[in-house]
Amino acid sequence: MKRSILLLAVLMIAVPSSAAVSIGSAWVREPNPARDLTAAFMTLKNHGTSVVSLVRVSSPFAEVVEMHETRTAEGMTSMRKVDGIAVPAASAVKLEPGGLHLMLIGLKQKLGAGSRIVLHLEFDDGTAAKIEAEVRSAGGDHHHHHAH
Amino acid sequence: MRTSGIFLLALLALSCSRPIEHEKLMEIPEFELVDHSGRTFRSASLRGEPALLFFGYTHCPDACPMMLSTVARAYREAGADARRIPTLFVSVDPRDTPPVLARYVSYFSAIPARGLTGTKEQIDAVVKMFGAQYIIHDTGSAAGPVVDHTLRLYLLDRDGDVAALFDPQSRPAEIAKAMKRL
Repeated sequence: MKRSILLLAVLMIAVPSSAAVSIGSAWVREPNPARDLTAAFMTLKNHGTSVVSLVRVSSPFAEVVEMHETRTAEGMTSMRKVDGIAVPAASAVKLEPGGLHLMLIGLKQKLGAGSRIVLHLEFDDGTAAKIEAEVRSAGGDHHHHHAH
Repeated sequence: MRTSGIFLLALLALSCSRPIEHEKLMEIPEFELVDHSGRTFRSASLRGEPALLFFGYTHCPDACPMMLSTVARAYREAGADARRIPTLFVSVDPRDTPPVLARYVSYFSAIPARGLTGTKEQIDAVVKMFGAQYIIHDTGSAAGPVVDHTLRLYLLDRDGDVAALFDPQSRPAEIAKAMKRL
């Protein structure tokens, strides 16, 4: 009996009930009405002791959600689909304009500034998260001004 | 002494009567494209007024909206008078037909924008004039092909030549200042 209680205690420690990665500051750029796609941004924070990757994202508001990265070098911008977004142990990865982002493709409804959408994020440690992200006007981008 | 004083006065008068000289970064020959209403656009029609120009495409979900956001802020900084300066959004994507461009640019109410397209030959000629580049890739995205392209904001002077270059990280106040100077 004692032994099984001990085993249960060990199991409870080994299988954390909450995900290692927490999600903050999520927002979606208000889509241009001429296109049924847009980008979502957020901060992924890994509280654990090993690397965790975001491997799949879906949303009831879009046909497909892909992970993309915008890169700009020597005045040329390029965008590529990525298979996952690794968040190193005890670190944070920012998804922000001009860098990593989630691309929402095939939007199912009009998304005006102030509305909220749901995103399902799945990680390679088996955990998942359901988050809400606010749609913000494209004219009010919260991007940072880098010093030249 | 007196002669030099007169000379200085003359110099002062001369500098006041002429517009402030600025450096031309690039001289741009005249070009033709098709505007978002489907009509021929001639760069010569802009002569006498400055303009902003950049290359992009409407399926671009990140870099182009960032640029447009910076441009919108620059117009707000520059004030109502700057609305005489049009922004030319030149699409390098053949999917962007005039009606698509018309809807796309109308979304940015803060920007007096004109969407421009054309035949591949016309677009390639303009891209080359501005020392820009674009490459269309199929990356397997559900959004279709992605386009790598030059992400620079060109400020054209009254002759249609490039007077200044900016990017999405440029400070809107700095762009506004340059717009008002021309």
